[in-house]
Amino acid sequence: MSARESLLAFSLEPRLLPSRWASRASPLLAMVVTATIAGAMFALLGASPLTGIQALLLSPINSASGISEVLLKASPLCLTAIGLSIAFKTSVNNIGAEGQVILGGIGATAVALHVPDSMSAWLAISLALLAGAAAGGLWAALPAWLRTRFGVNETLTTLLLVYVAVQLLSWLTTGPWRDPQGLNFPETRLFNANMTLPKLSDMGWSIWDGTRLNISAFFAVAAAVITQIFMTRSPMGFRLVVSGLAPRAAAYAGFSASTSIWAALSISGALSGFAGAVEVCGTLGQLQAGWVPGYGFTAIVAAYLGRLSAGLIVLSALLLALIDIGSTNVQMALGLPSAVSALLQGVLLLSILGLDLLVRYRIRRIA
Amino acid sequence: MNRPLIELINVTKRYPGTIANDKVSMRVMPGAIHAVIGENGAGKSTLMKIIHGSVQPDEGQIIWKGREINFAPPQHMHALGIGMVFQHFALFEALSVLDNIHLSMPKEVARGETGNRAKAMAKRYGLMLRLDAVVGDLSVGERQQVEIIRCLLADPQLIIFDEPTAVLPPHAIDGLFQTIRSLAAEGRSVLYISHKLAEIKSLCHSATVLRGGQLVADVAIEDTPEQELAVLMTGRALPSYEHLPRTMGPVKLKVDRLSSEPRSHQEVQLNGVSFEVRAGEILGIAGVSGSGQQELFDHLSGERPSPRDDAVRIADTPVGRLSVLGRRQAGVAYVPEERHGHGAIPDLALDQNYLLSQFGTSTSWFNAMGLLKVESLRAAAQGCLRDFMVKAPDCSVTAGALSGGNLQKFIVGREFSKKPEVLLVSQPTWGVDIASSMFIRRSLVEIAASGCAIVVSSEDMDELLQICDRLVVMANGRTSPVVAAGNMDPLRLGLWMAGMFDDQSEPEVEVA
Ligand SMILES: Nc1ncnc2c1ncn2[C@@H]1O[C@H](COP(=O)(O)OP(=O)(O)OP(=O)(O)O)[C@@H](O)[C@H]1O
Ligand SMILES: [Mg+2]
Repeated sequence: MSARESLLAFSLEPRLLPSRWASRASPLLAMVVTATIAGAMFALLGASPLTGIQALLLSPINSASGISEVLLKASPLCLTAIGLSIAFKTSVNNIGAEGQVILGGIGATAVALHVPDSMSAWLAISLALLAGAAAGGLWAALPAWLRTRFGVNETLTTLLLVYVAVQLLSWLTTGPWRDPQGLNFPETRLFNANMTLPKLSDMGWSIWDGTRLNISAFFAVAAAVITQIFMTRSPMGFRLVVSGLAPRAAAYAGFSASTSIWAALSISGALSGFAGAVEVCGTLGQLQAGWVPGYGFTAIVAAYLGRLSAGLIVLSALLLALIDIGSTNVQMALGLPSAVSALLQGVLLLSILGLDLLVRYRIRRIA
Repeated sequence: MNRPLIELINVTKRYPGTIANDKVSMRVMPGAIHAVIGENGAGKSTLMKIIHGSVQPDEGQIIWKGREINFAPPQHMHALGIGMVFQHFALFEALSVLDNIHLSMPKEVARGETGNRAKAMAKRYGLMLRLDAVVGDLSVGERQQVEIIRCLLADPQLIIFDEPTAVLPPHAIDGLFQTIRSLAAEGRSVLYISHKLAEIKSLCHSATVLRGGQLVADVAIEDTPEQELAVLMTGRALPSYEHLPRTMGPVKLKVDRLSSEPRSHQEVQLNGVSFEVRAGEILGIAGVSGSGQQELFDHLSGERPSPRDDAVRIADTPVGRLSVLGRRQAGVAYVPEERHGHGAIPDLALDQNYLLSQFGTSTSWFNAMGLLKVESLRAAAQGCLRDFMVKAPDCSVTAGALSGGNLQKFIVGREFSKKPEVLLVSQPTWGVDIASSMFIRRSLVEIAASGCAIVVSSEDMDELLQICDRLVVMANGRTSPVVAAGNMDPLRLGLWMAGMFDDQSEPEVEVA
């Protein structure tokens, strides 16, 4: 505290009235800040800022197939982020969604590789997705057990289990599940047709003809709606919110702390696992050793960007997916390095956090 | 010198739905002990927070030593010499007492030096201070003393005490009054808020009376009898307290040699606590706060299950190992001492806070699909606001926006309306104004009359004597023998509070 003040000769003061409109507007402002910084960065790298921003934000969505790619990217991200928001609201720091996503992929694959191709597609797909959710949920239940039984901090264990999950993935795809006809590539065989998520174009939506868009976007929206109802109107949702806000009051209400931890971790893990299963059965169609979902971490950003509210997370996931794809376009259009995407996501999160700080505090010079 | 230390002119503060302060003017002379009195929600705390700088008024002026100050943030007011002991403490629960005090000290002061100064200050004013205790483990009374010391260490010229005696043990109140008087004798001014008129009469020189956010009167304490102050505050004469005749039924709650295993060394260990409460009876628990009352209530409410199932019995059924939900099902309702974060959650709306203690009761608030019945919950919460005269626009405001006494009335109302078999109440009227205190006490007696067994713990001896049938004293995690309230004389009370119980009353040490 003293160091902060003396080094900078500035101090942060709580604002008397955190203004309501400012807290609503700060995500928009953050986007403007991010766009400005992106423009400046393009200029510094010797490219035209306008072309850059056009490539970043507009080029991804100027065609149906572009939009479909953004939706395809946003869906698993959104599912994962919604799960995380439940954990974060309970004050449970699940930062290992990446591992839970991978386990979801593994769970779905376990079903996909062992179910006869004569099974009806709806049943087969449902089984695979459920297996994915179960695997992700169980993977996240492990830290819950360690926390409630031995008091081990879940922040650490959820993160460490990501690396275990990566190893498990690589062992399965190079060992037991490797495709014998696969020229020694570390990946499983392609799934049967009854194991792939239906595409919207195949379901008769002609505007999506020629795109890869599948029903995962519906899952994301459904998850948002169900989660919103769950958190505001179900007894378990109420319990989680109370446990997150005031542990003492939760004890008073009669909610055991360990049940909340178990529930928060398993539910968020299950949603991550579901996202992993959706991706493996959707865009991938097989399990590969080199599969790095990445959105297990981006989902943390998406959850906070969406202020831990399911409806807003849908928007934040769309935005992050847009930036991700836009960055690839920037890379191609302007010949910029591939780190641009991560960089811009970082800038966006920092500006959100920075603006949030300014909503609640103001900076004062120490006289 | 005849210039006021601080003067407020036409200060107005509006909140959505309420005007907390409506053109309030007030002046405080150097060396004066000035009271601010009024009912719950009259705007006392808001006015104090404006002076302290933590709330920004909408209109008006503050004049400090003849110079107008532009409503400045707390740091500036602090630098001017204004200190405040809050009604709801602003301590970090996870940190030790010393760390909490140290955080508010100027940065050049070393930690050890803070400790020494705090100790000296505590000694000088006869306050209790355990520097290495974690604040989360302290009783409300102890926390308050930490707050007071922290405030005094800054050497302020104007000190605001917002209901400082609400939960202080009687001997500490005397000590605090000595402190306040000597502070005033040194030429400092004190702003003092309390609902206890006897205190105001004995301590203060002058008073500002607020009602519904407006200034009603400025009076000299000497010339104003207590009765008149009460009428000024409430706008009507007080109802007199009447004794309801009650018939005692069978034993409803039996505590038998209840002992606890402390989870931290700050916790008081319960040791052979035994008593019985019959249907229709009110048992009072007296004692210095931090003598094990909190631990006892934790074990009675089920927040901490007991090792032995028959250590706690309700209507002859052992419930010692039952959870909170199980005991609530058996008819237990509980009003905890701490409102913020225990009995209620400041960030949640009142209807959600109503729901907080409904799990395990026979009413189901969830429909066949498992979804909350929003409308019936609202109606119930709204009914609680109405029946217990809680001043709040409606049940969608957050608990944190209620004044202290109003939140207490809400929690009390919520628990009372369950029609409990066994009612546990810790500090029932802490921070509640006179009229509402009488209302709460009367409701307690009525609930007892309907056949409920009630355990009340309070720092306020007068309150216990007024409503209780029998009394027990807690000291050091042990209970004294139980005596009829009429048989408790001050001498015995003093001895028992110090832990000196009669020998023949020692609970038997045989274990089942
Ligand atoms: N942050 C807030 N938001 C909305 N309303 C508020 C807020 N703080 C106080 N109020 C309202 O302003 C009024 C005055 O509250 P205040 O806390 O000043 O009362 P008080 O006189 O201190 O009462 P008590 O004796 O119960 O502590 C109340 O009606 C209260 O509900
Ligand atoms: Mg108050």
